[in-house]
Amino acid sequence: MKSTLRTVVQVALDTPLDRLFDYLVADALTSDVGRRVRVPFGKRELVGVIVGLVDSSTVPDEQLRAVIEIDRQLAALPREVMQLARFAADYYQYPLGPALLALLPPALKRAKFRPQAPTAYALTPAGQAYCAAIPVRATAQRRLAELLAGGPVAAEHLTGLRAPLRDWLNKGLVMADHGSASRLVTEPAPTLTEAQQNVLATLLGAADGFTAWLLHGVTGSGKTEVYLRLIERTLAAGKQALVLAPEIHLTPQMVERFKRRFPDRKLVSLHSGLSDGDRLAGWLDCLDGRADIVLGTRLAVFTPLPRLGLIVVDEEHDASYKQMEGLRYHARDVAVWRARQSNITVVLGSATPALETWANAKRHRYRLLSLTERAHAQASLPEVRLIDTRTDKAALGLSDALRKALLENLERGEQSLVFINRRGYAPVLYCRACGQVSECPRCAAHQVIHRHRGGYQLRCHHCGLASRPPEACPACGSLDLRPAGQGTQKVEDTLADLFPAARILRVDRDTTARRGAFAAMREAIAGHEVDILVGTQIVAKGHDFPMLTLVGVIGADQALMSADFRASERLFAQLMQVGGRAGRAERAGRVLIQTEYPHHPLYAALAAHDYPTFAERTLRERKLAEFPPYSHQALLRADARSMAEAMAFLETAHELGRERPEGVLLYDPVPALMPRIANRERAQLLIQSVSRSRLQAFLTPWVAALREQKNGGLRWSLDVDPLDW
Amino acid sequence: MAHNRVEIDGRVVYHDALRHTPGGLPSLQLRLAHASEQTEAGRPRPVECELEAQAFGKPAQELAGVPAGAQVRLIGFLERKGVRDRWPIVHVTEYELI
Repeated sequence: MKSTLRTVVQVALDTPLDRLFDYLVADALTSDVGRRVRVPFGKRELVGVIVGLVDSSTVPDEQLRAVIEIDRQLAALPREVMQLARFAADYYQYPLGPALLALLPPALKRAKFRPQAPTAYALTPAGQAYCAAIPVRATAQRRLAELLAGGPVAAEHLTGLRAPLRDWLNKGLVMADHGSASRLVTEPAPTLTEAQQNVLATLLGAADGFTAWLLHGVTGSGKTEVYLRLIERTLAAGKQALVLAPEIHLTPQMVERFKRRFPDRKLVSLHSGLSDGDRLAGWLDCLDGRADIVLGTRLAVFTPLPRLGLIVVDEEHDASYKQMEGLRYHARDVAVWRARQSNITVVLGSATPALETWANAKRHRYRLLSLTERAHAQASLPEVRLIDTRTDKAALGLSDALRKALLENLERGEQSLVFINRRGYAPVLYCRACGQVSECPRCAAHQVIHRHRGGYQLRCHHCGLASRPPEACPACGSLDLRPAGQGTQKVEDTLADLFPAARILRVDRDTTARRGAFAAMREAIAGHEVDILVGTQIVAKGHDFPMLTLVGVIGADQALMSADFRASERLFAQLMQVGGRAGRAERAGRVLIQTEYPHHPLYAALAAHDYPTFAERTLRERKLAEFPPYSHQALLRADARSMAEAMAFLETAHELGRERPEGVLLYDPVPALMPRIANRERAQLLIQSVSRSRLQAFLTPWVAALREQKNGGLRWSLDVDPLDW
Repeated sequence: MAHNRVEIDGRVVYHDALRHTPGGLPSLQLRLAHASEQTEAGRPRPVECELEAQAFGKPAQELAGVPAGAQVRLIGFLERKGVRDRWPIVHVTEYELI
């Protein structure tokens, strides 16, 4: 018997099954779509999101279970965000349930629907008046008053004062503080350069509605100022602005800069480094429309923003916009889609746009704006020189020319950066007698030598396995084992030997692992407590160091030999970024690149600061090879205990794809470039088409068929628009 | 087992500072100047040469404390210098001050 009084809700759950689940509910309303629910699932209880209401279910009545609770304390997810999740799930071939649940901050995925305690407290005006008149003997209250006198205080610093805090909350003397209005004075906006004015005039003069802009600006050309002016206008129109930045670029300094410019606006920053509580508080500010500006990493692209009026994607070429697991979305592409759906402006900014983006601008899908000069009046682009290491042989990684330049800079009291994109002491441990190098026992990779507590350690950068270096070569027994090649630690040692008086600082993932370590380093650099920096790409991104006038690049050639067709694009962007650190203010900068291929066109374009020429040339190569952006790709990856198992699954997948639209190409399964990681053998199958829609039309039923396959211990995933191999 | 034994006296010309392999083993490179009288085809004559030697472990540690100019007897074997360099070098397994 069908019940007519009760409604059936369709619920998205975080399960691997690509379907929705029906539940009964007594009092569901259409306004409940987008709300969280607690539901029974087998013997467990799960949190889900209501995606629809239906009159009846195809599930027999006696099997239908009832919703435990609908969370009506929280606003429902707006329709726009639900659509965005659906688009992402469809396009990236991922089940809607886990895609939708992945948009929620972690705290909302837990079964308890209790509102989160505020993370900080501040005095209300009444509280400030009250503080002046606290009796001497009320010691707890006096302590609380003292702590709060200086502004908002994090809850964790008030743990011993719960009783008076609760009392004050009830009396309205304190209020929860979600990192709101700091007492900053609006920083005056700098005068715009003529180029910035022109770009802004075009942007502001454009018609309302969806437009995607590519703002191509050389390093130091003042792109951020353009964003700030656009945001200013967006806020003035009562709209919200969403600004995305790569993880590493989203520094407290950047947040501060935005805060100083808009001190009376609610700014929320969202990234994975936040505590669950802070992330939830920020997210709720967005959901409830309180936030004016959201500054976040890729995950912020899905933030519910009911008044969204502008999206900015800074450093749009950055690979960290691509999620590498689960829902493998590209935040830049999702941002463009979202802007179109919301009919608003999206600005993609970069000194070295992704070739996909450049091609889109050339095809007039995006409108191109260029800033070709540095914003700072005295700053010019650094002089780039190539050092031929076939004639000027690099001893311990450093050529004579670079040593000399470093010495000159030291004598002038200016800062230098030696860029080497390899952390650790040396890339391998090498046996001089037989030539054997240290291999990870679990991966198809070398073990890297690291300095470790006064000695050394072998570490695999793929699976993390760490071991003591052997005393004797495992292959031939020789004792003559040596570190071969250069890593940041070894270069640091070499520089310390060469320049004993220099203050040297190494910046790589190992030195910045601790929270706050990066900020401390930036301060040391800004305070000129450092003469020579040694670092990986981690220093290359978006930081202004005005005293830095020399950048030496070592070991760049390697990327020229890579099997990955995107390697040269990445190398160009990286070197342009790292070179862009030099001479950003009054002092002229120099960039010295050590290479055995000084006539390589990539380096020539770099020396000429000529991204467009590099882009056009590389795009021609891509076109000939039918690589993206002249084709669209998806990569089916499989990993298993044995290569045979992985390949067998891909063979089956290949077979299942026998019938497919014309123009969709299935390559043969092959072992991955990194064929073994942590004892899992890896293989892949590439799907390619010149037509994105035909590729999509093929993928959807194919992936559904793949999900039907029983595959034991095998794991597989599909990556649409893969960036790495 | 095929024979490979070197026993040679000489003066330590120089040695590097003691290093350690990443595995923690002491290692030392040194150069020895040898001079002696040898008989060849029934004729005695003076002989002179310099050679490169390498030590690991205990002899490396101890030889590092021997000043340049000291007379030593090195005992060890020959091995090629490296994968690409088949020229021999003396590996010191024992030594005596003389």
